[in-house]
Amino acid sequence: MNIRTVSITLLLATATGFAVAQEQGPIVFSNIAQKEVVVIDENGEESIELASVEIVLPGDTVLYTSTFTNQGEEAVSNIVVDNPVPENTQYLGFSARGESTEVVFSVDGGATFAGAAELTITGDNGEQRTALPEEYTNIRWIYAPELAPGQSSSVSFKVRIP
Amino acid sequence: MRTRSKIQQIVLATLFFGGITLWPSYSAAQTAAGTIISNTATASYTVSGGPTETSTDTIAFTVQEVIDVSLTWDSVNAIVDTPDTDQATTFTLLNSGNGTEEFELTVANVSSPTDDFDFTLPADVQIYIEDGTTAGFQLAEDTLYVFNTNDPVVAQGASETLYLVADIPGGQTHNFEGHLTLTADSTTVGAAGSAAGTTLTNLGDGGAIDAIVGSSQADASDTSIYQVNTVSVTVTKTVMTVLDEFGGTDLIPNAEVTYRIAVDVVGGTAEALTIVDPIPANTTYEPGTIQLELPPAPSVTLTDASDGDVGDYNLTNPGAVTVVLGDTVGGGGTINIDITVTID
Repeated sequence: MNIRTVSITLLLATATGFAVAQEQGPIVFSNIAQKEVVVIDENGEESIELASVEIVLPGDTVLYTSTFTNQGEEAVSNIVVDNPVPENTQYLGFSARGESTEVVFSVDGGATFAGAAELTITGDNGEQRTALPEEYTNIRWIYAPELAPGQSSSVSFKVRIP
Repeated sequence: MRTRSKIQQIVLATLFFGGITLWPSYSAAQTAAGTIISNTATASYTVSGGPTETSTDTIAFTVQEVIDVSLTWDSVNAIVDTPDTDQATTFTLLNSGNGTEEFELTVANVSSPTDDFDFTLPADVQIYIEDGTTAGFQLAEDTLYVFNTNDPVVAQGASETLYLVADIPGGQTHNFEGHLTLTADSTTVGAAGSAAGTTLTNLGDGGAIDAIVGSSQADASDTSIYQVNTVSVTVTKTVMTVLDEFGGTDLIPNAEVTYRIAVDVVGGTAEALTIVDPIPANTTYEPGTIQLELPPAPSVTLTDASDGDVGDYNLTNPGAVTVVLGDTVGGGGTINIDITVTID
């Protein structure tokens, strides 16, 4: 089937779940997906480790990390990172991270953004209610500082595979 | 699930990251095996006074297949004679994984302190698959299962109703139980019984993805109970006397008819035995005429009210005489209930 062919192609291209921007410009922008794995050590302590996304199953949590590096000669400002919550996944509440960033979300495919507390959705009964994290469609990180040449920073979020 | 023709490609591997891998539990409406999850991030920024935008390449991964199954007996004992034929117990097979999966079915006798007798296998126990025409087991309709010939193929989240259909051996004692265990194993090679988390490379749905053994270890079983009931209750109804208003025995209007309900219990105790006798059409109950003979006691008259005695008329059941005999030990002789009605 066509879909399967596409999937194989994509997997070959991104076997490590890692991608780097092709565009020319001072910012080199990369994106990586990693699966969370709960492990228990000899003492019975649980901890979370990151693994490849080679085998992802329903119930798994996947961490997306987008890293931007200034490889140019001058400082870069007004950096805004946009990332849609992938289709067939659910954003995990409070999982968006980013140093020196303001994080806003969208529930309308990225047309409008707001903080988690201000995001509303019209429920089945016609009344407005606060949107649930799993209803978020897009995440935006507004990076406050300038990024000096040679510097890099990253933003991340997690999704659950239903 | 994947066809067996590519067995040579099997590689067994177990997910292992610095210790024991915890396996998450899966709920309904799981993401289907083979679903592609893709993501592209975009960054915009300002440099040298001008806005610029850049995107990452798209990263994508495919959701693999988790093989999970549950099998549940409906907990309704089959009450059977000894011997008996074609007695069914009912199970539900649920594919709780996220792909389409095929399961092979087997049945086995049980050895446990509460299991009193075994069945002759395979001759006396068949597995049937509900064909959807009529709910419940129908010998004429439902599909006989033949091992590895018509193994049920179950879609993600879907279920099948299965029946064990057994012939019961003779000579069993009242209340003896025979237990049978039905087992469903995934037919994906290497799946059934393997540790949760075992990876079966390229054996997932369609063959392009891996199959991972889920917490059920890709097999499931449950045990049903056949319970022997040797008690038989025979109820016969006969007309005892007819008395017409002219002193004769003609069945004419105003004639009084007394009939007898004879109850025979043999082979054990009939539990919670209640006799309900609707007054026949075109007759009227003659008040105060319920007679109960519970041997060895002589016949006594029961009142029509619902009171201290065990009988009533038109109260427990409208238009009927009800006599509550309760747990009735067999072999104590015939219980007679006499009732008199008048022909309208």
